[in-house]
Amino acid sequence: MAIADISTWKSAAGRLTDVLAQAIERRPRLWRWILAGPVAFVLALISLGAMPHILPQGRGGVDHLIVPTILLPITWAALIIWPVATERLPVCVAVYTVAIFVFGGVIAAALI
Amino acid sequence: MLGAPAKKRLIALHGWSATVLAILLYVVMLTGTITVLGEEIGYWSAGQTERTVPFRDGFGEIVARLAEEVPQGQRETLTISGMGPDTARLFFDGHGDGPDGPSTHIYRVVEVETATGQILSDQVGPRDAIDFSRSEDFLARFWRDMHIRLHVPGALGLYLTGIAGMAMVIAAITGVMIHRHIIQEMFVTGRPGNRLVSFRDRHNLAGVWSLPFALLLAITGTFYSFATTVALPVGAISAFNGDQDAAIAAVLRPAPPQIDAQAEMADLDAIVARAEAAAGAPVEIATIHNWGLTNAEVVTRHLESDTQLFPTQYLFDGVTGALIERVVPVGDGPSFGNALLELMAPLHFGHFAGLPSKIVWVLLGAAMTYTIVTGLQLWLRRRADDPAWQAGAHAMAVAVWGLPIALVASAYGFFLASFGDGRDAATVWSFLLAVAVCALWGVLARRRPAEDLARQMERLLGIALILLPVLRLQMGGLSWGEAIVNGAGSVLLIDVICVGLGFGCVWHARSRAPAPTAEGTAPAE
Repeated sequence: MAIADISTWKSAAGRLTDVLAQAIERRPRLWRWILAGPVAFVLALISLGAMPHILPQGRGGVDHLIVPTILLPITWAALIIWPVATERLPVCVAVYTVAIFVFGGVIAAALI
Repeated sequence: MLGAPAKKRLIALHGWSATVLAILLYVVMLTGTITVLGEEIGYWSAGQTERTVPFRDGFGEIVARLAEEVPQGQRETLTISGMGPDTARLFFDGHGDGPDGPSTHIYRVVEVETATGQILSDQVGPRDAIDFSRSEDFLARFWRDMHIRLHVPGALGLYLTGIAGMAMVIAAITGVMIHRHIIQEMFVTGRPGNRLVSFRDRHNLAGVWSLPFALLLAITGTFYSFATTVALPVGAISAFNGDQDAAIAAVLRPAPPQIDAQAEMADLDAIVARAEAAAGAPVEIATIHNWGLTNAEVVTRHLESDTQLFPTQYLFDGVTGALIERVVPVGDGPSFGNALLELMAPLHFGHFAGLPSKIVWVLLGAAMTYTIVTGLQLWLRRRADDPAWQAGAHAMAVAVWGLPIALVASAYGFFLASFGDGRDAATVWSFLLAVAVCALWGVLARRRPAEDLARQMERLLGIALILLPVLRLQMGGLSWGEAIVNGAGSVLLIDVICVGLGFGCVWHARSRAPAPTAEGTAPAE
């Protein structure tokens, strides 16, 4: 593939990112509500489901199940507070999106 | 470093997270503070001397004789626990003929005198046919269940208390983020009066001091609410293809399977003696799986000794009587997850150093409850000019003082029905009646300042608390002399707390400022 093609893709991706970032920054309050509300809830649950497949089992064979359960309140609270506190909402959207895909992928891979 | 807009948003999150669920949070926090002394309240209300252990010399023989009379299928699990100074409960769990055919879950509950082996009561049948409740400790259970699930049945109650816990986690974290001078605020004396700054000072002072404790309680409490209602189903779907039984089996040690090979059981008294020597503490509960089979197991659970943070459990071979291992709460052996899990109970219940640590937990719980109330007062004061919020001050006075009044009323109902059969119902109906009366009182007093209503309700609470030990004694409760002779410290402790708290309420109600001044709505900053 030609080098020019790659740079074209890169600039197209950059433009798309800019458009998305502008769309988010136009309605910051709405995005904060969405991120701190339903998205934080879903992400907390997905991370709870994915952690048993990511964390080591430990000597007792239960660390991967117990540790995410104990950390759930802190994880969920952090996911609620970050979109409220940050000024860089597009970064928050990007991180949450990646996290949902990664954790969701881990669960899907385990179930299939 | 947070900018001004971010701080403004966090203040809104801090306020809304606690305010939307304020009443829920207040109920959970107040009843939780009381429940720290739940064990002592149980002894106090039941007139029991102290915590009882079921085993004494020769009781193992009595258990063996009773167990042998129970059909094999109905003694898959036998749990032995203390009921009172000289009584124990044998709880058989197994299967037999019943409404669901030959594999119906059958329970047998035998209450027996530990010295003589005399059977006091014997119930057998499916779950619906057995009365598991003990009315002696109903009051403590009633208050504890309000804390755990707000008396909402099923998982919904746990969801509600879990969400209240989450609100507290968020309020605590955002509280840290919005207070720039947190160390300085620890030593700021609250400005007197009913001005906005006075409420803010009180809220900040109580909140800052109880902040680490608030986080600790909220995280551990939310864990208890969500562990079985959220984490277990999600973990089961994700890691066990939706099989919750498989998830439970992976976490908890499964009981040995039922087999045909029979064997003579080891001497239970000898096992108990060996277990108590290993744990350095008496056996509180003994669980025996597969009584009379070759794979029989005995699990002993011990009271916490002075040198142990957690109650210990030991596993014995039921046939040889040999010690197999120390049982960990979850999984196959000691691990990081186990250590974290074991820390949850002492950190949430505050019982890790006996009564002194419980007292500290009660005081910190009271500070947290005060923080919630002052936070709500602050919220309402800032909106005092808004007609939509003006009824809020009366509603808050009713909720804040009505709940403790209703809790004390439930104790009155409990003691007044001491000689009858309907003690459980009397406790519940007294509570509900007091709630209705307080709500009506709030409606009738809506034209008067909310401060007056609060002061009157506080005074009533104080008088009710002072008279509560008198009623307990009049209804045949353990006297102070008997309590001292029998070493029943809990009876004295709760009586003293009631009287002390009662006088405190009466004194505070008298010393309150009569009404808010014109500067009450002046801006704080």
